[in-house]
Amino acid sequence: MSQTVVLEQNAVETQSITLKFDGCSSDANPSPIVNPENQSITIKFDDQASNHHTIPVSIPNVDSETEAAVNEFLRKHGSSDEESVRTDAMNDLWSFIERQEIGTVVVLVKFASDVKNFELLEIFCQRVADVIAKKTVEEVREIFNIANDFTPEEEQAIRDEHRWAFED
Amino acid sequence: MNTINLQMNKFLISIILMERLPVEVIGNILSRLGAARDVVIASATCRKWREAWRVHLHTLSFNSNDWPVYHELTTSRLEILITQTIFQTTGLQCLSIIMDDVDEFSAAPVIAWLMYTRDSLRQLHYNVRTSPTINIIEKCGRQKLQVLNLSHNTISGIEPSYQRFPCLKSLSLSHISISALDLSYLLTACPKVEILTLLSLEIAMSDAQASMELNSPSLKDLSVEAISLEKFILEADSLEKLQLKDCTLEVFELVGKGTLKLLKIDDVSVIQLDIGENTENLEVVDVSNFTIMWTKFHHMISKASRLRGLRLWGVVFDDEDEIVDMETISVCFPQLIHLSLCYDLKEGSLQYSLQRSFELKNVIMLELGWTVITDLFSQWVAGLLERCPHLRKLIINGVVSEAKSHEECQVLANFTTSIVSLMRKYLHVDVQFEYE
Repeated sequence: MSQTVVLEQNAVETQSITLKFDGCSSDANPSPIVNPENQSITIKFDDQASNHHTIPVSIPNVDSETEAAVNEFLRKHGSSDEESVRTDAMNDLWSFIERQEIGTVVVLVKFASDVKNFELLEIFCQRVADVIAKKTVEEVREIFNIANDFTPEEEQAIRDEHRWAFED
Repeated sequence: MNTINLQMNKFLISIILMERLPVEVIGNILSRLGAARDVVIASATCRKWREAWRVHLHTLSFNSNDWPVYHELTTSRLEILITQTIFQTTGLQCLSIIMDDVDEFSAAPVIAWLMYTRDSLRQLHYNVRTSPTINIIEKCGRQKLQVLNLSHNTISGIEPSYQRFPCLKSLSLSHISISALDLSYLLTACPKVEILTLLSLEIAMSDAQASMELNSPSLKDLSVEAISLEKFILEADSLEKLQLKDCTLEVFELVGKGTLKLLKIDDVSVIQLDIGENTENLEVVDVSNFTIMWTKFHHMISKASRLRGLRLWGVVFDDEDEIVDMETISVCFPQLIHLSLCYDLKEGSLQYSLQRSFELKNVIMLELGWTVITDLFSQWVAGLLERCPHLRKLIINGVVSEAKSHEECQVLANFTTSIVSLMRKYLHVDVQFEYE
């Protein structure tokens, strides 16, 4: 994906220009195209890194080891179109996530949801699903610290309606 | 102290986050859970999770393998619980009803499930007969369907003019009764289909028809198993993978544009097999439990100069004098990386082969097997090892019979002795033994 920046000079002399995108500065050094008529300079970035997958991200509320594992996945996954490389990256991240406690995984789900990264969401949501599988209602509430906001009548109604699922 | 703070933080964080996770994400989690009972239980934890089930669930599965209690419920009870659960979802995309113990569902609930999900369904997996028989193809949502996996049903009366599956990529039919004409119509009704799997079909041919003719310009991957036909003609200009297993055919003909990359034949009885003249793109040929006419076979694949993998396993020659000509293999397939061979070795032909000078320059993995071990086997292994200068891995695959006579034990012992001394010469080769 390439980004084009057009700078128009308004009779102000500038010695140097630093361009910042999304909080990361680029040292790309592309050749600017000067248009003397309207005094504009066009700089084109062939910016593969604008696919945010390959720029290391900082993840709030996780330890450095987890952040490193996620970044390693993003780097590896974004570095190649080859199926086998991407699958390896996913398997590595998956093995790492399986060893983490559920609180960390929930933080990561929120992160993946916020940055809208589909691949990360897939892995983290699957991990949460695996932890929930075959548990009872009380166990699921306990694991995720979910507050029960049903009234006793509502809860009974749910259990009656789907009696088959709650039979042990 | 620091550890306690961190733990408390994590605890608080997970509570907060659970409450701040968008309900769509919860829906995503429940969809990955898939199994209906787990979904219903999880959705009973709090209002948000219940909303996630009702509004954002996209995958739901009723699979008799998931939960043993399914086997104990009556068919009517199953129909009720499936109906109740499906009808509380919105916009379901993947529905899977796999109930191995159920003989048949009544038509009415099945029609209801299909009609309710018609507008959003992208994947349907269904394996139960209905009574009376319904036309699932007609009843299910066709507009968005990408994957259709049907078993134990009858398909008839396909109308390709208005019954079309514009998005269907993968079609799998197993234990289905269908006429050859309807199957051909069905394929035509799927202009984008790429993967077709046919297992144990009961194909009805009308008297006027001698052959089943399927035509699909988009098909890339065809897998056919346990099918019996006289003549099967497949016109597929994009076909890359063709797998035939446990089939009885008189004629199989592939008409295409030479796009085939993988050919796999296992336990197939066919009198005439024709995959076309353009085999330049073949990368893997895997033939097992098959009677080969070497000259014909060789002619079929000789132009596959890019072949990387060749497996001839449990093959028998139609003509007693024919052999697997290793020299020809080395010449025709210079880029061969994997070679797997298992067939009856004959003294005369083995000596002849081993006297020829040829090299399998690029073979890095060699798999050799016996069904009945003879002393010839070690000679064969030695001879081939010599001719694979870049070999990295050798797999010895052997059938060891239960009741071993003294003679058999002796032959096995001799083999073990010779392989040990042989491998001393090839220390860089990784050897693996697989006995069954």
